[in-house]
Amino acid sequence: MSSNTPQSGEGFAPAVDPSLPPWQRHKHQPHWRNNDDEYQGAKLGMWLFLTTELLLFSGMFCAYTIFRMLHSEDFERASHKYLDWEIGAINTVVLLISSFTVALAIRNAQMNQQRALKINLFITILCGLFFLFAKIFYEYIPKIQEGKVPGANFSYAGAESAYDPLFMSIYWVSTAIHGSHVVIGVGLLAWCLWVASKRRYGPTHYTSLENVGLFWHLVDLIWIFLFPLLYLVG
Amino acid sequence: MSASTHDDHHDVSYLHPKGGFFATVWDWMTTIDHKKIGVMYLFATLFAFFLGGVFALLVRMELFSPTKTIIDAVTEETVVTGQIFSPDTYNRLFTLHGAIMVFLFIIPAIPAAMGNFFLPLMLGAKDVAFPRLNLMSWYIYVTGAAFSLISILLGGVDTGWTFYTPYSIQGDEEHWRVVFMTTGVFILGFSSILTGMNFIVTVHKLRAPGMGWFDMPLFIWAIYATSIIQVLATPVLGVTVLLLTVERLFKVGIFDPALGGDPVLYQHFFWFYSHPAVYIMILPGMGIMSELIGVHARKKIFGYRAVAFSSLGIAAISFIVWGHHMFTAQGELASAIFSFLTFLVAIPSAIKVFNWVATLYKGSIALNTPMCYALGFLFTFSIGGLTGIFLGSLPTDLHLHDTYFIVAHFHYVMMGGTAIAFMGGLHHWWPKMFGKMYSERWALVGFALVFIGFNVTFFSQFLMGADGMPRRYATYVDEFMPFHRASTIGSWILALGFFVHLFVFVHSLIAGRKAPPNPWGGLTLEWTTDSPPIEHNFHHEPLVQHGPYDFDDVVPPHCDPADYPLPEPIESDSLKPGRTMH
Amino acid sequence: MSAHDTQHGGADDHGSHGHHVVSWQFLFGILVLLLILTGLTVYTALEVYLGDTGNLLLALFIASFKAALVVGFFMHLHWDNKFNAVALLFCLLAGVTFIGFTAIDIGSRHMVDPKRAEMMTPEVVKQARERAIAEGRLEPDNDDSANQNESPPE
Repeated sequence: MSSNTPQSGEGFAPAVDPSLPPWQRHKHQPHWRNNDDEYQGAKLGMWLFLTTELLLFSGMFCAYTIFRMLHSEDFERASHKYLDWEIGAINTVVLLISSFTVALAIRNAQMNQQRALKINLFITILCGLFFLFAKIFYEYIPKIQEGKVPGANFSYAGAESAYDPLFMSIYWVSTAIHGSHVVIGVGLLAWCLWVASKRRYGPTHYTSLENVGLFWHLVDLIWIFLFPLLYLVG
Repeated sequence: MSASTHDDHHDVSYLHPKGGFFATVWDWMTTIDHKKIGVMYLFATLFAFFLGGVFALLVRMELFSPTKTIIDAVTEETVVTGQIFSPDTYNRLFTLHGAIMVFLFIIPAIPAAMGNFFLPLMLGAKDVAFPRLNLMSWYIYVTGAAFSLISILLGGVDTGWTFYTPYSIQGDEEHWRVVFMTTGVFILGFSSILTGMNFIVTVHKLRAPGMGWFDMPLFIWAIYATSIIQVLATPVLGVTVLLLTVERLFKVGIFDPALGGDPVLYQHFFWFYSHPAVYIMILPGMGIMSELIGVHARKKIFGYRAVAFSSLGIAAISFIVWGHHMFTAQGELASAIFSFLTFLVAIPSAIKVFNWVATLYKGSIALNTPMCYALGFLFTFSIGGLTGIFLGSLPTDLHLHDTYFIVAHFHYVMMGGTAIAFMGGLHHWWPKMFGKMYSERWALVGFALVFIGFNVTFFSQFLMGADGMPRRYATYVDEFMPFHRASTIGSWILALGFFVHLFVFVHSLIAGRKAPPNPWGGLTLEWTTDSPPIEHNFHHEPLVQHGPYDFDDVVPPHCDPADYPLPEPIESDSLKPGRTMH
Repeated sequence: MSAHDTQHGGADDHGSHGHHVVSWQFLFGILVLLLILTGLTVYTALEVYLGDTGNLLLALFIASFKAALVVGFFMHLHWDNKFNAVALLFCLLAGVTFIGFTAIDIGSRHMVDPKRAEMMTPEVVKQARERAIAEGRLEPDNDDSANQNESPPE
């Protein structure tokens, strides 16, 4: 794991050559031994952060499991009644494509393909925005108008059991937490695009791009589970 | 400082002021130096400790006599409780005591304050892995604390520190105060997670050359295990209080039976974090214990690997025992399973205690303040741990559930374990942190008061708890009065003890003599640098060539060898009495 | 496919780690597989009836497989430092423990005292609701005047 061989502790690049492209000028912070340790450390930190994110969502999955155990028929019916699987499926495809493009963007950075890097990041951001657009304008707003909102404020007249509001609570809270992650992810990707436009990502330095990519994949991962559980099998 | 071979300005003490007053303040507020952040955490948590302690004294004061004692008088006059004037005041007092002590003091005190300061030093690193994140986590802590304080100033919450759902979603006119408190807890959780992540990466990536996993001081192992729990458990607290907050704001009903939700589900959510959190509290204390016992008995820790792995064992087991908080709420099968699993916790805890005791055997025990606190820990933690076994067994628990026996048990573990270890660690590392020695004599007086006061306060609670005194009541039947009186008087002794310590520390800062780099003859890396440490921790990157507790083979650096003679070889067949020094 | 970065002096003693370049064809193949599996999820959930739990388990199985593809290849965990995988594993273990034990509790309440399994029946919900309205915590709505189990006309 960590390199324990004695090293100078002064980093590998004694002076930064201004003629180098920006991505080669990156120098690790002084407490790291070299750029690679810094990169590996940052990535380990990101993975640990991702575990916390997964466990944050595990609470929603736990609530879902319990109430589906208790009211399986109600939930299955409510799932088909209140949610439109087509929008969910389209959003799934969009997120999968965005995951692919962000993986490509990291590959572009590794290969020093600056133009393709920016294009792929841009496509990823567009996918994220499309997801939010579909979510808000084809799901959230119509549902609010029809009163299909969580808990006590539920006022949709066609409810068939006392647990319909509960299903909607799980749906709203899970997708809202997920949606807030999409918003954060889009913001981070936009920041990465800005950094990329300064040519600061390249074969030897793309730490933040890789970590934002990992975060974006997490957003995709959560949706991979939320989609079938909420929209298909209730 | 002056002995430094470099004339680089980084070789001055980290406490050296940067220019004028405002420049210094600005330097501290924007520092990414783990030592300064650790010191800022130390003062923040000590302030929380003071605040929680005041609430504790008010609670004990109220219980001095069986009927209403002070509540009515207090509510009209003190600023602490503001405008509240209702029978709920007592509920608010113990809620605030619990919430402040747990979320603002015990959880961050050792990992965030001492861990921040000493983890990189003990590893021989220049800083933690992500220094800016570290500063951010301090600001997040302060923000969370501010939310909690706002909630207190607006009148506090009366749900108990657990925010159990039937209480926390009742009473509409108060719901926004609960929202403040839960938001505060949510934010504090972030701070805890970031600190934990930071420490795990630091331990993995920034150990000094030559330091393998089993050359790490046991404090690091304990902090590492704590960080694992922080990373894996705290997010569930996050989602719990998040759900509670949206429950209050939008009435989503996941925990509300009126809307089809399940209030017991809240308890599962809450304790999935909060039981591991108990080990977030105690594990760092155990890490400090290993340092205190090793250094002040000048003996290699008995069973180093067993102690190290028992930390990880406790961390692992902590995730599968949360149901023992819910024996009366959950189903019988789950209770039986959780009861069985709960007993497992005793194994790694006992491994630690026995190994510490074995380490003391034939050690050169210096009965100074840190060692006295270590011995006090062995006594109080053993009582706290063993009574935990009673509570883990189902039939006993049904009798003792929600009585003062529980209160006494967890105070023996948290106060008698964590807080006592914290005080021991603070005395142990005080010379390193601030470069000043303290008055040993007065510190020992403080220790004696704290130890006696603590036992008087809480042992009487075991007795009345076993007799059936329920917790969380402001009044009680007359039969319990002697116990409650004893407990309240004990709390005054305890408070006096802490004020003596406060005096000792303030005196040390003002008039203490300068501390040598290594006053106790420790062998871990933090003792190889100056006291207080220089800004970049070490003059040269340290190279680890011996274990952290090899007192038999190594003369500690930076201390006069005449003070610490190598032990004479002991023939295996002759039993000499343990030598004592000082 | 593997292109190790050896520019950092002395840092390349870790074995395989993050500087791993994957061909775009491979990534595209994974994407196609993921899309096919998404289609399969939709198809099996809507057209194949395997019973209530059966469909759920199948959907979860496919989702887990998709997640494994994303984690392993898009997120490079397959080629990455093994400790990152260990961290993920422990996270999943904690999550499974959390959901599993909670489900054991909820699922076993009827075993000793059947009354405890009735925890959240419509009857109990109705009572709790009436009490909440009496306490002023909830606004009564038109549902409360009518019988809750009958669907109102629409």
